[in-house]
Amino acid sequence: MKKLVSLLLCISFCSLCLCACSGSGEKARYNVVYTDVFDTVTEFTAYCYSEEEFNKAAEAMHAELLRLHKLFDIYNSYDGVKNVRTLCENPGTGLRGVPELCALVELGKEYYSLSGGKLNIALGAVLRIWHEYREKGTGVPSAAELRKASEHTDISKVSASPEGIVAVSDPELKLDLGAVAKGYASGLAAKVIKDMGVTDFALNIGGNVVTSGEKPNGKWVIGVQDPDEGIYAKVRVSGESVVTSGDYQRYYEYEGVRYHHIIDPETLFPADRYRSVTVICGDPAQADALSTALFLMPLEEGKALAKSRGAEALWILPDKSSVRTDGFEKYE
Amino acid sequence: MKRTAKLALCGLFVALAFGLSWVELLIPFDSLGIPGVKLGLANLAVMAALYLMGFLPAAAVSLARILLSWFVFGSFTAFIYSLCGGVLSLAVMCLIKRSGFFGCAGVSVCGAVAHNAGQLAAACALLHGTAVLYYAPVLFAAAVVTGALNGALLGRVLPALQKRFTKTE
Amino acid sequence: MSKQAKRDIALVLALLALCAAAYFAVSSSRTEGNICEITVSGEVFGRFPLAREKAVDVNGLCTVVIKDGAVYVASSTCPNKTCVSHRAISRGGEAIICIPNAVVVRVLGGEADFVV
Repeated sequence: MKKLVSLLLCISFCSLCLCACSGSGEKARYNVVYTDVFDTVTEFTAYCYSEEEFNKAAEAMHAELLRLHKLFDIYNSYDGVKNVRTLCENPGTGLRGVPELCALVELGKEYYSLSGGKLNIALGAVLRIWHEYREKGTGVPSAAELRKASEHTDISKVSASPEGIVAVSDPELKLDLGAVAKGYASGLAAKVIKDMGVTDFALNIGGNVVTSGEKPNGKWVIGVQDPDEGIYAKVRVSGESVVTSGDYQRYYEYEGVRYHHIIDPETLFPADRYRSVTVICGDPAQADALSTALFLMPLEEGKALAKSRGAEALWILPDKSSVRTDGFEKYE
Repeated sequence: MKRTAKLALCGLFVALAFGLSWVELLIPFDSLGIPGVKLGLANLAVMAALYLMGFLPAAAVSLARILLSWFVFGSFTAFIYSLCGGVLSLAVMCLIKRSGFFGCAGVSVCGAVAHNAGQLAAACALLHGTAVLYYAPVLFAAAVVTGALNGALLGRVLPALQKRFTKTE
Repeated sequence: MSKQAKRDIALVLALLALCAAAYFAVSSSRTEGNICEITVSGEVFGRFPLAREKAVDVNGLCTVVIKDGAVYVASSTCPNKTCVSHRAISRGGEAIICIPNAVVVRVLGGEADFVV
């Protein structure tokens, strides 16, 4: 009997050694945070076989985000970079060789018509005024001031030709890609990460989450923030994007009233239909554009738009009750 | 029992244990909201070996099953967890059985609890944290229940097994 | 019933009672999301349990206060003070971010990977 046991143990030990040599190992969780792109926080979490593998993917992704950040910047110029500011400062001439900008302008124009004019990437002149007041933290822009700026928000003055030329024909018009840029950028960044061979990751660019693969213990879990406190709902995704537009993301308070960053192009004041809208969609750029569009649109129209785009959405209303699209529940 | 009979029986129990660990994989406790809970069916084979042949054959069966699961289902982390659980569980069961204080069910319950304790210790070491301990009471309660059921089951079957396999002596 | 069988049953009942007691002890002592992590420019500055009241000076950039199981930024040298006006956070996955100073305060633990 002893011999038998020793034999079994020997065989076990030998095969253990064999397996230890041929085994590929387990993936571990890695995480990194950047605060230098898109004026928000970017968090990248991935499961990789080694820290080296993770760092390589993170660096490549970060470089891509920095490039896009400069490209979409409306306030600053960078040496040797033709960006949105260049475009707005040189009306009429147009920019060539900026395929990402061209694609984003096309997406913006598409969503302008899909949302019935509610999502407008040419609203920069108005948003700029709100931006200044938000930075100061006091005062509210006057209706007259906003009306005057809104004369230069005609999106038909912005064009993206099939040849890849982006042009603005109104010198006073300011593009503001804030409603679509982060989602679009998160999609391109995700592609870079996948090109580096990393398949199981989640990337959060200021509330725009793009996911790929799964964690070892299941899908990625994304919490939907309760506008006041804690977590309102949780969704489980693998490959989909989750984006929330909410009145709590960027705001300032003046005389007891909260002024947030999502401006209704009709009233030129912060929209107050909902506290937040969360969208789940396969395409990160669409998810971002949809979340802003739905935040500005009436509920029924928004539902129809989400459905036509194959997206699911959760609206949190001012009284903290909520409305979901039919398919949203299957992610909860 | 003859040596050849023991050898054959060991092989049989390894196969049984391995088959039962596969059956366990089919039961989706994770999706029922109590992740980490298992029936511990494989322990039936290990215990049968312990009662019929003693400590060393039982250890061999347990180790062979854990290694086989690792090769086939291929997760190194799971292997480490099973190994820690398996070693502690068998040691405890052997001592309790030798004391003669508890019956089959009692031995099985102690084994199941020890198995979980081993796995939790491994989890604490691997995850560098004690957050996992918050879940421990649920896991231990499940271990007590499944251990008792398994033990009761084996208690019923064991006399027949003993009759069948030890009479040939 | 044999002596052993009676002991077996007693063992099962005793262990179950012990588990129930442990469960209640653990669940009542548990605070949601129990650790807060502060990072500066991506480097971990420190981790602090939410259960213990504490005021942390983060390299002179801001003061983070842990109180009543929640954490908030009490003061900051940054220009816009968005981080100071952010409500206190307590759930795993929640975060307060100060972009100008590159300070991130977040609550670890809990189930969600990100909160949006």
